[in-house]
Amino acid sequence: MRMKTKVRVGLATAAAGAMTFAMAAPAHADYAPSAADAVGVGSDTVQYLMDFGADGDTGGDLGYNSAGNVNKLVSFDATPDANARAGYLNGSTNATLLPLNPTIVLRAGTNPVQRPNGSGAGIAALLADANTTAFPDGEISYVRASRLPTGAEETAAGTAGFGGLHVVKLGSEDLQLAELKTGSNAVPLSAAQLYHVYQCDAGFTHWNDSGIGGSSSDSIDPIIPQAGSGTRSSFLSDIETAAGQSTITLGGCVKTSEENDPTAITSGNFGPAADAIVPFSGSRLALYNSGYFHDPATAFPGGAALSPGIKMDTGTVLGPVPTGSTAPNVAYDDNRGLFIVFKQKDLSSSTPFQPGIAKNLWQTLFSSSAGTPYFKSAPGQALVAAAGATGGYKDCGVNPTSC
Amino acid sequence: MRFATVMAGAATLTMTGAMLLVGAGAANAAAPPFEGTDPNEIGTLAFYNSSGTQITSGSITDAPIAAYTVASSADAGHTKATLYFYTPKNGIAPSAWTGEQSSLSTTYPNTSAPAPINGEGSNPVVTGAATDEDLSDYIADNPNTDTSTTDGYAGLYQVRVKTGTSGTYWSSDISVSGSTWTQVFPAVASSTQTSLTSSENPSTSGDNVTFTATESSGATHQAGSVQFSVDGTNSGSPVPVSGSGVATFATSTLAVGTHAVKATFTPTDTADFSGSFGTVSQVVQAAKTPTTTTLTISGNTTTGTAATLSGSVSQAGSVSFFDGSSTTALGTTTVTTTGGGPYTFSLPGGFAAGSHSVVAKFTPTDTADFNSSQSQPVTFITSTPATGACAATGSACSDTQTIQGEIPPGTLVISTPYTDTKPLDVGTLALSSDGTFWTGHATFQCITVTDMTSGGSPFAASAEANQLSQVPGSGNPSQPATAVTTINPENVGLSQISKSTAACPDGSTPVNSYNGSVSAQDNNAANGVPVSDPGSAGLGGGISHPVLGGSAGGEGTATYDGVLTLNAPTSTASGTYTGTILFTVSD
Repeated sequence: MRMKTKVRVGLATAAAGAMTFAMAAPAHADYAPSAADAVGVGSDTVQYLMDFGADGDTGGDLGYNSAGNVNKLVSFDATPDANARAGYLNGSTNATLLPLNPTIVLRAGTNPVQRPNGSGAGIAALLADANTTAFPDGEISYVRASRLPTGAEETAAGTAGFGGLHVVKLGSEDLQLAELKTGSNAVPLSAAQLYHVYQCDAGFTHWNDSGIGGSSSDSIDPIIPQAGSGTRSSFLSDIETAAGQSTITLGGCVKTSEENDPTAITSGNFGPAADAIVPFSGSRLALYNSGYFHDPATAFPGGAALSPGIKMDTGTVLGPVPTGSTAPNVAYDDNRGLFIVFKQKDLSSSTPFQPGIAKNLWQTLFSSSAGTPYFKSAPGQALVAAAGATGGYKDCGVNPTSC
Repeated sequence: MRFATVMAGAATLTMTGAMLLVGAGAANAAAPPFEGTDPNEIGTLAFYNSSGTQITSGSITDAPIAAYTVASSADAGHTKATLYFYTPKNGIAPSAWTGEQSSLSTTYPNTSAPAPINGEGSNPVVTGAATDEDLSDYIADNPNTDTSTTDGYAGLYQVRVKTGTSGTYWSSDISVSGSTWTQVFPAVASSTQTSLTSSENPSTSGDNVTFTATESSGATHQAGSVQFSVDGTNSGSPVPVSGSGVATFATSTLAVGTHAVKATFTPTDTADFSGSFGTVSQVVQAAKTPTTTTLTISGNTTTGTAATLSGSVSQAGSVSFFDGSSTTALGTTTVTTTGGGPYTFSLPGGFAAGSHSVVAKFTPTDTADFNSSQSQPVTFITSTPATGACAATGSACSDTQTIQGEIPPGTLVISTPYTDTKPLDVGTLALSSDGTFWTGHATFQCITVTDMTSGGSPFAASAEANQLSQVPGSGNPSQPATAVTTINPENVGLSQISKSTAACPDGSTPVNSYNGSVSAQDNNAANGVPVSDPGSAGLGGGISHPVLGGSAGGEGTATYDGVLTLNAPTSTASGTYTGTILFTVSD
């Protein structure tokens, strides 16, 4: 069950003069989950795995909620757009973006709160989700994540009395560098090269620089996903490690975009499209290429299937191996897991997920030593694959350092 | 919200779709109390195994619960169906029961499924997989805790199939006892099976093809009738089945092409037995044009030389040649001319010695429009070429005078020294003293018997002469056509038989190691009786005449000489005459 609040943006601006009326209306435009529903937030990359897992795909494969059970599986997308793009306030321009800070209502009867956008943002929200009388297991049942929790996050979970963070791998994908599909000036870049590209280091700012090996004299326009994004964290960690470094300082040439949005490249808003590069989810690109997303510029029932206009940067690296590199001199490719994170203590909750059953929601959906949790089952894994990822369930346990 | 719109849509879907062909019959058992109260239930389910046989029970550990689960009505608006398990709860509406998805969402129609599933059109079908959740796992998480003996809920579970998110479904109720599930709603009539066969498939346009439907229900046959149809159109009236469940339908009017022939069985007792059907995909081919093949063989009258096989065919194609019953072709040649024509094939080395029955088999290039054909068998005889003296024209060849008797080696053997090249020549005959016949004689040497048998039986050697004939070309050139040129074998005699002492004609020393006694018997030649004489004097008469006899227990070699006499009537034409004497020994 996927919830959007894009409509609410329009109401806030168009009905500014009718604020009193709007505030008096008790109903929300979107479904507000009940106290017993399974509610998740977090990663943009993983959101379609859970969207499909909850409600099925467009190919007729039905999801968990199709059983019609009383309590639902709900997954709030990372952004207020079903195409996974960022939302902006009225008055935003390409030159001056006005972030929306979109909100969601996590549970019926609660106030709107900021919508967590990304793995880090989702885990941060989970860590801040204290148990209350109204919600003894908290308001956030699980977090989607494209990276494992950090040690600091796991420590914080322990401090909060959660018993650590339990992780389940739904599947995996390849995180690679994306470029314009046709007419790109980009050449294959290794993780170590990208470290210097994203620091805007001399010798790595133009395609024909000595450290790059390309032929175009254009400037490279590196783009990085927004803060709080697991993709951003994974990418920066990858290129730091490959370069033999422990930190990276993003240079002034780097632009920030909502992750996994191909228009970051194709729009040309961050520089010539032919020169733009951004780390991009392989499962998302596969979903784009499957025809799932349709042209949002056309009103209901919608336009033609969108072509993302981008491709992954692959092939033989042309430039020399940067000094200090510790990684193979091949085009950047991080085969990574796609995860669900929840409080360890919730796994032993005594509250059945559905009337008449013995298992709680975490056991029902994610992790159980007896029987098969939904996302481990064949139907659940089929929907993970339908979202573009490679299936491969694994229960990683509590506070895993690898999985 | 999508949940609000589901309910309204359910009622309009209830009556759509076709009846299930096999499965739900009259509900003879009491239905669970919740049946008939669920507005979201738009039909029922039937379960089938991988062979297409309906099942009504199974193990709760079976995954999937059924190879195929088929809905009772159509849903052309979707293409995938998903199977769920639910736990009935007294006091709670069926729509609010808790359940779990068991199967993948599988595509329907499933044309690769066996009948009758593959004939269900747009009825949703869930194709089970080993990865499906089994009932035991489901029950572990979602047990039916109702223990009432009166409310009708205890032990029940519901299987549902959904095709979308509308909230409507097809369902059947099952009861679980121990590790076994049994379908309780809808009650299931006993199934029948109907098979359909064709007498000729593919057939040729115009052929009379008989379709035979055979119905059974387990080991028995139910009364009823079979409606045959071709391409969806009934053919005639329903045909009652025989006591062995058979009904037939014959037709010779099927057009060229592929036809879906179906036999639908309807039992007389529809309350207790369900109907069934069988199908055949009948292919009717256009009639083909006959072809002709001829064969002539020349050359190769003796071995070692090529034979020429020639003839003609009436279409382009290939011609293969077969000898007798052999399935290995002697060779193959082709005719490429459209409309056929002559062919010639040379068989290198020709045929082996003996008689051959050869046919030419023709396969047209255009097998779609023309039939194959074959020639009439042609008998062809090949001989071994003559060698030695007999190879020369006009020579006095006496090959046939090789005289020997032989039984299996190592046991009992009789032989003489005379061979093809060294025949016994009695010389030129002279008039008898009374001038009534021609006569001549010569010593017949070294009639050798070697008796190596065990058991002690005495050997008995006999001789039989055949008619003598004038060697062609040896007579008077002016000899009339009516001249007597044969001599009755009664005129051949062997007498004065005694143990050999002189060297044999081949130079060898006669062996007389026989350790028993030997008796000899004379067979005197007749005095020139004519060919027409029916007697058995001398060595004639077509019978064997005893000449030598061994004694019981005797073993070894006995070598004897005799006097061979040849008499001939004075009416016999002049010339050289040859004949044979067959010696035989036995014990």
